[in-house]
Amino acid sequence: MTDALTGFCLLLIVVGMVPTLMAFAQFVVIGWHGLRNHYSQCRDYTPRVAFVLPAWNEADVLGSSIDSLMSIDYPAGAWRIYVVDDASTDHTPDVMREKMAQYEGSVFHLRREKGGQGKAHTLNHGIRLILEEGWAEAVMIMDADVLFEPLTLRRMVRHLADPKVGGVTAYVKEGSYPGSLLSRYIAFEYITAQAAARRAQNVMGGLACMAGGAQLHSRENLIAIGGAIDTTTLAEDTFTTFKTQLAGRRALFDANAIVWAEEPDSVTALWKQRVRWGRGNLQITKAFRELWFHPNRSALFGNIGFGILWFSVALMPAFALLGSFGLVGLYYLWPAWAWEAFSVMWSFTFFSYLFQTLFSFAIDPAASRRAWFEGLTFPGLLAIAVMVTAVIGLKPFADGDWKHPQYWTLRDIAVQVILGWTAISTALAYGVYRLDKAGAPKWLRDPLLVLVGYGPLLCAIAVGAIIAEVRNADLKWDKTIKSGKARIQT
Amino acid sequence: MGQDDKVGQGEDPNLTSPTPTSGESIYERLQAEDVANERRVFWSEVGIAAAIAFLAIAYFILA
Repeated sequence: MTDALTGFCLLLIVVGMVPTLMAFAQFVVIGWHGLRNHYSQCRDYTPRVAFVLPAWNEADVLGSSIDSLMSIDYPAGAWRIYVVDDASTDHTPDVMREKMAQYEGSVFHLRREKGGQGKAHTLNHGIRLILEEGWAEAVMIMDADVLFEPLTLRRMVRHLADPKVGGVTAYVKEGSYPGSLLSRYIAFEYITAQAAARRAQNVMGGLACMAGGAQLHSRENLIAIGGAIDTTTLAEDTFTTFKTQLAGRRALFDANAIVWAEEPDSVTALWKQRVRWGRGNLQITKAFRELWFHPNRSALFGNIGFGILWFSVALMPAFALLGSFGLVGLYYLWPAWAWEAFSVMWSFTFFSYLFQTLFSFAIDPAASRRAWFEGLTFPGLLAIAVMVTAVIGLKPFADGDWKHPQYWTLRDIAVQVILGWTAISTALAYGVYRLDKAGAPKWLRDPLLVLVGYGPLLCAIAVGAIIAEVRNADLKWDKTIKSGKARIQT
Repeated sequence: MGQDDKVGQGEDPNLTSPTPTSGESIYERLQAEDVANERRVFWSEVGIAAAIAFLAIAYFILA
């Protein structure tokens, strides 16, 4: 019985390592993008592009977005901006009147008198009219606050010269100015989650998500996927990405095409935004349940690597919890093996962390100069201490001679905290969120976030998303409030 | 209030084919820059992976 339980705990530890192993594998693949990318199939192609901006009370950011879009480097008259106003109650109509006069014939205001159905419905209103009009050869779905660098559109459209490509997404960078600790964490996160991970996905042949902030579709692709985007889930951008690929066209990421966006500046706002994203991913997992791991039904979803990667992100907290249970359980069953397992697991995590962090700095040196501290402390200072414990050993916690826990001594407790750190840090990150929600000042929240880590916070948010989805909470589109702080940062 | 009525008054909807346009020099410059950046990322990975592998091997030998 003890042997079976020990084996089970070891299995849990291996399962708990899946997200770390997948993240590492993904980073290893990235470099191949230098040798195997789509640039060789690009051509000089500048189709007529319609930008669709869904807007609900975006008056503070719309003006600068439109100005940014109208100053891009692209053939004159070959792009237009359609702002789909979801019955805004602020002065969005006034901003639009001003901008339409300023950019006559290039900026259009499509107002819905009855709104409130969410972003996807708002976008569909604009997409339907644009497709009916027939002018646009490509459609750029984006957010109202996103700022385009002058050459971003040229970088994106060149891929559409290849008829096998249906959609292209850009690298959305965090552009809040002045920045904050949280915005710099997000900036670093976007290096790993976009500039790094999506390059790897390009190599692997299937993109998990074309960012909703800059999602370019060929007209043919948009029509092929039904002429509208999904309204049944909270992750319409991911759904559209999957439909594009299921319809037989490629979805690509161009890391050199850069746009800037303002991201949440409080943990509470981040929680709201990411729970929506997390729930959307879970809904998509369910919506395509017949395809995962079935290569005969879908090349993309049937791909084992892509499937494990997807589930390791969508169900990250479950993996973390299982790994922690496995280690603590092993400590009770076979303490010496617990030390060995802990040492191997966290030493690998340390070298993987070192590799991913340094490589992320190299992938985007400009963003890393701004967010180097946040990159180094991404897993949390306490997690780094746990890694160091595993790598170099710190008596009395890691002398390699752990005994069966007999009493609740300080050492026993400390060892169990270290072994269960992945799960414990997730719970502590939830505490940071609750503190922020309760109105804790930044001088208290920020040091706690550095100690506990931004990574565990994302894990805690994923738990929140799973709970909300299981409880079938309202499917409302909780818009992230933007204040116009984003700048194109060079 | 809305401007929906203006939609549909666009230019000839005949789609252009992906043929070279006047921006060719910009295109070539972007291609060169971006291909070079991807190569830079590749060699960065090679260098960092080699350094980390060296560290890891040294650690396992010394441990």
